[in-house]
Amino acid sequence: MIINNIHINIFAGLINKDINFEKGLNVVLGPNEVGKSTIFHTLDKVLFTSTSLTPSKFDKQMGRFLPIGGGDTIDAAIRFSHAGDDYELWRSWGSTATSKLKLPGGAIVTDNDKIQEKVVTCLQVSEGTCKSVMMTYQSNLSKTLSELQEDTQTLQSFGDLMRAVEIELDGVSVDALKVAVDNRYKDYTACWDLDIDFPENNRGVNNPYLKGHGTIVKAFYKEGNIRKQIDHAKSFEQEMDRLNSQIREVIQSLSKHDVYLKEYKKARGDAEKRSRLNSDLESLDLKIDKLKKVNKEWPVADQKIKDINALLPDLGKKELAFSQEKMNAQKAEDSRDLLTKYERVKAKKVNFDESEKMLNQTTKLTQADLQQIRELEAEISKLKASLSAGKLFLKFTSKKSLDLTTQAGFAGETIHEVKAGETLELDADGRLKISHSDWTMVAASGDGSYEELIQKHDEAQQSLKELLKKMNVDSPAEAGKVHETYARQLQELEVARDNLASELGEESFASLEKSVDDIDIPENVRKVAAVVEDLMGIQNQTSSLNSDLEDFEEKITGWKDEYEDTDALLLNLADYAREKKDKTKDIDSLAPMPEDTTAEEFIEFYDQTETDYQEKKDERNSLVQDRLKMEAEAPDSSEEEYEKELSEATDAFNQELKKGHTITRIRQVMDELLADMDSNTYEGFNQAVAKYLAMITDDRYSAIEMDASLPSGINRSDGELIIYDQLSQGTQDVLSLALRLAMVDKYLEDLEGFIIMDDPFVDLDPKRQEQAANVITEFAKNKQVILFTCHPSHAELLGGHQIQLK
Amino acid sequence: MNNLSIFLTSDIHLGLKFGGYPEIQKDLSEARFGTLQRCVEKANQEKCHIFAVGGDMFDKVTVAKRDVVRAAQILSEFQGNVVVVLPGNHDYISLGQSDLWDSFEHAAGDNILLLKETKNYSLDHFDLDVNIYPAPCDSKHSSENHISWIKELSIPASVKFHVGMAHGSLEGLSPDFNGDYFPMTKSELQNTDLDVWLMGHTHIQYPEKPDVRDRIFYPATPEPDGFDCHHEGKALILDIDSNKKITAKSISIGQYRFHHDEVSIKNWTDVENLEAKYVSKKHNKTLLKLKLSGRLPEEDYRKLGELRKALQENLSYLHIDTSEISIKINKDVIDKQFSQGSFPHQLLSKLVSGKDTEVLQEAYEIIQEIRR
Repeated sequence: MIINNIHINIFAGLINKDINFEKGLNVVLGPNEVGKSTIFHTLDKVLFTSTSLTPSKFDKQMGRFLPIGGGDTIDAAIRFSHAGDDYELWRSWGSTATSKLKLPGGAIVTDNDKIQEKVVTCLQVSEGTCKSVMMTYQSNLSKTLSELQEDTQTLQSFGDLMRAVEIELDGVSVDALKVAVDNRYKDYTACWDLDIDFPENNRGVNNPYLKGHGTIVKAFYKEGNIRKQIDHAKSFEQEMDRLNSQIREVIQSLSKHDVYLKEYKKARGDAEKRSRLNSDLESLDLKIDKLKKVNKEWPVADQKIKDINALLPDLGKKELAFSQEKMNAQKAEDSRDLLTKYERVKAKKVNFDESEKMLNQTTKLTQADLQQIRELEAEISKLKASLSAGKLFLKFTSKKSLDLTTQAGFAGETIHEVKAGETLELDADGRLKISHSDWTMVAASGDGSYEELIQKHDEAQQSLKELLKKMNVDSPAEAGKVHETYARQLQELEVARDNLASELGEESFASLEKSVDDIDIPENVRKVAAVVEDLMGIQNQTSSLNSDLEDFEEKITGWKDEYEDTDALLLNLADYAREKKDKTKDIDSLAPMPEDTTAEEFIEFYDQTETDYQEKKDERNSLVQDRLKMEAEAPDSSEEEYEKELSEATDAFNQELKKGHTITRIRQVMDELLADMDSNTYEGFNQAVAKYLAMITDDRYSAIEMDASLPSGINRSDGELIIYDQLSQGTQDVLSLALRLAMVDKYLEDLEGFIIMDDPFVDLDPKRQEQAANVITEFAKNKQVILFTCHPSHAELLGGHQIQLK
Repeated sequence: MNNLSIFLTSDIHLGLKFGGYPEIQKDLSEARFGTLQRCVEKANQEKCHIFAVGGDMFDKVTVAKRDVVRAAQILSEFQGNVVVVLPGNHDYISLGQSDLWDSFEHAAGDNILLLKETKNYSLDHFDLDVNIYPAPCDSKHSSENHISWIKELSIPASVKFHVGMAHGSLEGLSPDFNGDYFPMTKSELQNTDLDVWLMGHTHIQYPEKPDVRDRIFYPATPEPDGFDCHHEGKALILDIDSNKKITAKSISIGQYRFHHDEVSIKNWTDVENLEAKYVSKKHNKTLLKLKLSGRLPEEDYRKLGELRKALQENLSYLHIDTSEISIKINKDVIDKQFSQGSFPHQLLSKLVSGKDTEVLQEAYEIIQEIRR
C-alpha cells in the first residue's frame, strides 16, 4: 500500500487539512505541536478503526480525537494505491458514524468488516505487523529498545536484543513474559505436584509447608484444614451428645433416688425399731399359735388315749385267734404237700418196678460175657489164619480105580471116586489130607506145628461152642444183640432207681406210705396267706394304737410339765394376745415403708440407694466437669457452618488448581516455542541488519557475530567483537535504525509499502546523520517513507518530498 | 379470645460466624439479631398473641452469653401474651446443662416461656386458653423424635387451643438421609389430634402454599445463612379461628439474600442487563456468586472490571467466576494486535489452534499485562 493523500476534515486540533504524499521519501517538517502526531493518528485511525463503536468504545478509542473546539464528529479520509489501483477510504466517527471505501472502478463498500479485510489485503501484512513495524511513530520499537537498554537483567546479550527486535516488537519482552509466566507458575504451583495433584513430598495438611508454597497448596491446606475442623466439630458434637446422654441418665437416676430417699427418710429412721417390733410380733405370733394349738390338741389327746385303751383288748383277742388259725392252716397245707409228694414217689416206684421186671425177663449176657465170646472168636480167626498161610496144590493120578477121602484145610472131608488113569487135582490152604482106606496122607505147609495149631483151633472152637451154649445163643453175633438188650434194660432200671431215690430223699417209701396213711386234713381251713394278712393287720393296728397312745401320753406329760393344766394355758394365751396388740400399735405409729418389703430389705435397699445417690452425684459432677472442659475447647462453628465454608474453600481450591494447570500449559507451550525459535530465529535477519549497520557506520561495524544459532555481538572493522552493552549510545541508535529497516525488508520484501518514522537522527553525529539520510533515501527508492521531524536541518539532509506543516 | 394469632419463626441461628465471608462476617452475624428484632416488631404490629420460636434460635449451645442475653432482651419486647421458645437440635437443652438456657431464662422477661420439658404447658397464666405440647431437642442428633409422649396423651376438651411444637426433619420435606435429626412423619404429627404443629429445622417454608386444612408449619429461617439457602428469609403468621381453621400468612422478614447466578454473556447488552439486574437498592444486602460464561471482544472484556466494580459497590458480597468468560481471541485478533513472527503472535497462534480457551485467555492476559 502506498499512501497518496490524507484529508482531515476534522480530527483533534486539525481542520480541513489536505496533504499529499509521494511514492518515495516524504519528509513532514513542522515544529512541535503543529499536528504531526495528529496526522499519524489520523492515518492509523482511518486505516484501522471501525466507525461502528459503542459509546464507551467511542470514548475510549476516539474520545481524545474529538475536535478541540467542540463538536461530536471526527472526520478524515485517505487515498492510497495498491498494485496500481487507487482507493479512497473515508471515515466519520461520532453522531453520523460512517465508513466508506471507494474501490477502483468506483464501487463503494460501507461495511466496516469488509473495509477492514480490503485494507489488510492492500497492506499485505497484518494490522498488528503494520502497526508494529511500519507505523512506529514514537515507535514501539524505539520504546522497546530503550526499555531493553535500561534493562540489563533481561538484556544480557546481543542475542537478546536481536530477539527483542525480531519477536518483541509488539512491546512484549520474551524474557519478561517468561519471567511473568514462571513467576505466575511458581505463585500457583510452588510445592505442588501437578502430576498427582497433591503437595510435593506428600506434605499433606497434617505435615504442611509453612512457607514457600504457592496458591494451590495454600488453597489445598485451607480446604484440608476446614475438613479437619469439620471432623473436629463432628466428633465434638457426637462426644457432646454422648456426654449429655450420660449426664441425662445420671440426673434422671439421681432424681429418682432423691424422690425415694426423701419419701422414706423417716421410715428409714424407724426401720430398726420396726424391725425389732416385727421380730417381737413374729415371736408372739409363734407363741400364740403354739398355745392355741396346744389348747386345741390337749382335750383331743385325752380323748384319744381313752379311745385307744378301749380298742386294744379286742385287738389282742383277735390276734390270738388269727395266730391259732394260722397254725391250723399251716398244718393242712403241709399234709397237702405230703400227699402230692407221695403221688409223685408212687409213680416213680411203679416205673422202677417195671424196669426191674423187664431186666429180669431179659437173658443176662454181661459185657464180660460178650468180651469172652469175642476173644474166643478172635482166637479162632487168628488160628485159622495161621493154618491157611501156605497154599497147597496136588495132582493125583491113580493107575487103578479107588475111593479117596480128601480134606482141604479145615473144610469137611470129601469123597472122591477116582477112576483108573484119572487125575485128581486138589488145592487147599495150608493142609491137605487124603485118606484112603489103606492110607492116609497129610500134606501141610509151614513149620510143621500144624497139629498144634489144629488142636488149639479145635479147643478154641469147642470153648466158644460151649460158651455160646451156656449163654443160650447160637453165635457171637446173636450174643452181641442179646448183650445190647440186656445193657439197655439194665440202664433203664438204674434211671428209675435214681428217680425214685431223688423223690424220696432220705425217707423210705415205706415210711412215706405210713405218713400218708396218718394224714387227717380238717375241712374249711383258709389259706395260710389270707390268715397271715389278717393277723398282720391286727398286729399293725395294735402297734399303731400303742404308738399313738405313747405319743399322746408323752404330749400330755410335756404340756403338764409346761403349762400345768389347760386353764393356766389359757391365761398365758391372753397375756400374749395383749402383748401383741401393744406392739402392733407401736408399729402402726411408725413412718410407713414401701409395700411388699420387709424392714430388713428396706433398710438394705434404702442404704444402698443412699450410697448410689452419692456415687451418682459424684458421677454427675465429674461428667459436668468433663462437659465444661469440652465446651471450653468447642470449635468456633458448627459442623453445618464449616460445611458451608468447605464448599467455598473447595471451589477456591479447584479454581486455583485449574489456573495452575492453565499456567503450566502456557509455560509448556512457551518453552517449546522458545526452543524452536532459538534454533532458527536469526537466520538471514542478521545479514540484513549488518548491511544497514555497515552503511550507516561507514563499515565500522559490518557484521553480526553468531554463536552457534544465537547472535553474540557486533564485529568492529578492527576485528573486535563488541557486545551490546559496550556500544555507545549513538551506535545503539544506529543499530536501532538498522534493525528497523531490516524488519521492513523482512516483512515486505519486494512488495510495495510504506514506513512511517519519527526522526531517527536526533542522537546521531552529523557524519552519521548524513550516512543515515543516505541509507533512508536509498531505502525510499523501493518503499514509501513518511518521516516526521521537527528539525529543518534533518529535512534538508533527507531531501525527498518535503511537506511543511504550519 | 376468639381467634388465636401466632407469629412463628425458627432456625435463626444466632451466633453463626460466617467465617467463609471474612469481609462481611460481622454484618451477617449482626443481621440475625436485627432480623429477630424485626420479627418481634412485626408480631407486635400484627398484634399476635404468641411469638413462637420453633428451635435453633441459637446456632450452638456454646454461643456467647452476651448473644444469649441480647436475644432474651429482644424477645422481651414482644407485646403479645407470651413468647414460647423451643430448644432445637443446635441449641438443645440437656439435663444438667447450665450455660445456655439458664442464662437465657435468667435474662428473659416474665413473658418468655422456655419449653424445656416434654409436658403440657398451659398458657392460662398468660391469659390464653391454650395448651402447648412441646418436643424439645436434648441433643444435636437423635434417631428418635420426642413427640411420642403427646401421642399417648389425652387432650383435655376444657382447653380451647392445643398447639404442638417440635424441631426436626419431616419425611418428604427435609433431607435427613441417616435419620439423625429427630425424624418425624406427617401422619404421626397429624394423628396427635392437636390443632396445629409449629415446627423448626428445615430452612424452607412449608407448606409452600398453605391451605386451610394444613396443620403442620415450618416457617423457614428468617435470615438465610449461605449460598445453599437462596430463598429470602421468611416467617409465618398463623391465625386460628374458633373452628380451628388456620390461615397462614407468609412474611418476608430477612435482610440478606444469597444468590447464585450463572449468566451466559453474548454481547455487551447482556452485561448491561446483568448490571441493571443487580445494581439496585433492593440488592444492597445481596451476596452474589456470579459465574459468567461466553466470549467478548477485548474492549468489552476489559470493561468487565467496571461491572465488577459496580456490583461490588452495590452488593454486600460478590464472587465472580470469570474462568469461563474470555476475550474473543481468534486469528484475526492476533493478526490485528501482534506482528507476524513476534513471540506473542506465535504463542497465541499456537494456543488458538489448541482450542483451549482458558489457556489462551490467560496467556493473552499475561501478554497484555506485560505490554501495558
